[in-house]
Amino acid sequence: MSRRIETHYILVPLVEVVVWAGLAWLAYSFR
Amino acid sequence: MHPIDWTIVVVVMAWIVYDGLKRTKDSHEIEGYFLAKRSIPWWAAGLSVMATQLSAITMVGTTGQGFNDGMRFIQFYYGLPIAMVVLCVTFVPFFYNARVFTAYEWLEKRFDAKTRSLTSFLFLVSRGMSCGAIISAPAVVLSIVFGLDVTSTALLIGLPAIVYTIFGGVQAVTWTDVKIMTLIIGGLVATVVALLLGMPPEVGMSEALHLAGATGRLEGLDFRWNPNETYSFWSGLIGGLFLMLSYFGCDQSQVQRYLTAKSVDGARRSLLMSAYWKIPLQALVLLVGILVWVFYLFATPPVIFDRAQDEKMRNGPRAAEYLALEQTYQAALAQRRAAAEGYAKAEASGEEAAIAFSKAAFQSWEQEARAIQQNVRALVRDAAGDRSYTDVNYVFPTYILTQLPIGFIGLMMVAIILAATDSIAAELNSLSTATVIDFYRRYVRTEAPDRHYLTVSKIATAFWGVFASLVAIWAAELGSLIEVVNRFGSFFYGSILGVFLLAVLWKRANGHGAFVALIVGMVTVAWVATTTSISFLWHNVVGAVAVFVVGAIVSEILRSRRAA
Repeated sequence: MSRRIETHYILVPLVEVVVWAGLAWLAYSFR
Repeated sequence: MHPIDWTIVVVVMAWIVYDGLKRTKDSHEIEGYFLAKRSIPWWAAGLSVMATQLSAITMVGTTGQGFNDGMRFIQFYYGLPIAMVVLCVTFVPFFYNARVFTAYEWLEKRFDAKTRSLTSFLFLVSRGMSCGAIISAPAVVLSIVFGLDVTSTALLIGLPAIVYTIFGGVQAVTWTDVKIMTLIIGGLVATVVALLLGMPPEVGMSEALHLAGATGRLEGLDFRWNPNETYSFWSGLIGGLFLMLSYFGCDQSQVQRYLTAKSVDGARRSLLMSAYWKIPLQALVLLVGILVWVFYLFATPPVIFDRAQDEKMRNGPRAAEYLALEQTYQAALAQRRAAAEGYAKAEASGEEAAIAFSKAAFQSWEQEARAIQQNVRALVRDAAGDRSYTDVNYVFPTYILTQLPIGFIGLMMVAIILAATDSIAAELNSLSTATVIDFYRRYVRTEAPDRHYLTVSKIATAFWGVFASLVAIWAAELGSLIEVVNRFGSFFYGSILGVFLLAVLWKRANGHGAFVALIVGMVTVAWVATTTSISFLWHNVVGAVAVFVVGAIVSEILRSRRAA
């Protein structure tokens, strides 16, 4: 397994948290 | 539809079929026909994974949900990214390195033939049925918007897939997926632009979002704990995680996409593509639905979007009630429109007092319009004798056909048709693989030249194409488009996942334990589904946990007996 793939295993959950933050911002800013 | 739009539909579909038929490289050998000799670049396999999941049901059903309820449907996918990482670490290397054609073939290597056969059989039954739903659901909608009969639209959707999958195998499926995904994403982005251009000059993206947000349509996070609710954060994250683990890890229609990749890391990358892009893609589809709703604040929407049902109501015994409600609805819409214009102007001006006042007026008229709309739907349900009737699946096709320019209509309609076509192609390809590899080559003719298996594979593809078309007619009566597909799988999905988890995580598990546990798991899910009202997403958790626990216990008991 390459290092680059392992990096994605950490990045994927982080990106998902950022997506949730983005959705929370969208709902809050345009409520 | 204008002849120019029909020409676009026919030309694009002919090109896709022609291109699929050209992709017969390596398809004269069984490994080439089913796995493209493991030569597909990761990005193409990744797009194929996404295309298989994005069907016409997504295009018409999800935009309809965006229109009606907004962003909350996105929560269904919150477990997906984590599921992809778990699969990359666990299942993918096992499947890929074992050089198997199907996920179930690997189960025989790990357990025994009966466990392999039962899981593969369950896949064939549930996928064969859901393939029918994938054809029938959009066929019903398109038959009404085009004014054609359901058989014609079902053939329009299914026939191209059957033809290029029979001759081109997995190469045709993958490379047509790449083109169709490009067309769909391009079409959706262009629709967002068209929607914004079609709104009044004072309404830009910011005002449109304020209008949608004022009615709660931008809320994509609901943290309330309620297992009966499918579209909540926890149901999506936990129930969705198990559903996605099962769908992408144990369902041949997905597993076969990434088994075509050039290496284990290529297979992993193709899944990680969905981990990053699935939620943004669904958000785009929902945003289109939300913007269609904003668009209809300033245009006059029909009282119901289903033209055929509208005509029946106008000429039926309850026409007087229907027309009276329509009149009240149109009056409320006129007030709502004025209030929406006032709110959009206030938002643009930035004056807080004006914003608060106009927003309250808009929200009040929106509530009024929604209440009347619900009365209309209740009346239609009552008159039609169908308690689950809804017109949300007709919203996006109606918008396309009545509001977009000639040419654009053809492109969007062909994108919807092809979204169904490419999903069916992948399903047929995987159904054929499981039939031939897990049953025909395993039990009927274990030794034969490749040419023989290839012929049988093509016959199997044709058989499943015909089977799915027949099921399509029956599945049309099952109601809500999106959930039909998921419900079929939900009774088996969690239990099959449990068997694979047992295989990977419990080293002492054996074939008898896995087989008994699979049956116990399915009975448990059926019991839970019939006696409780928890969301079908949680059935996957119940099935997987039941199989894992029972499988481990039975395996241990059998081991200790043998030792004694």
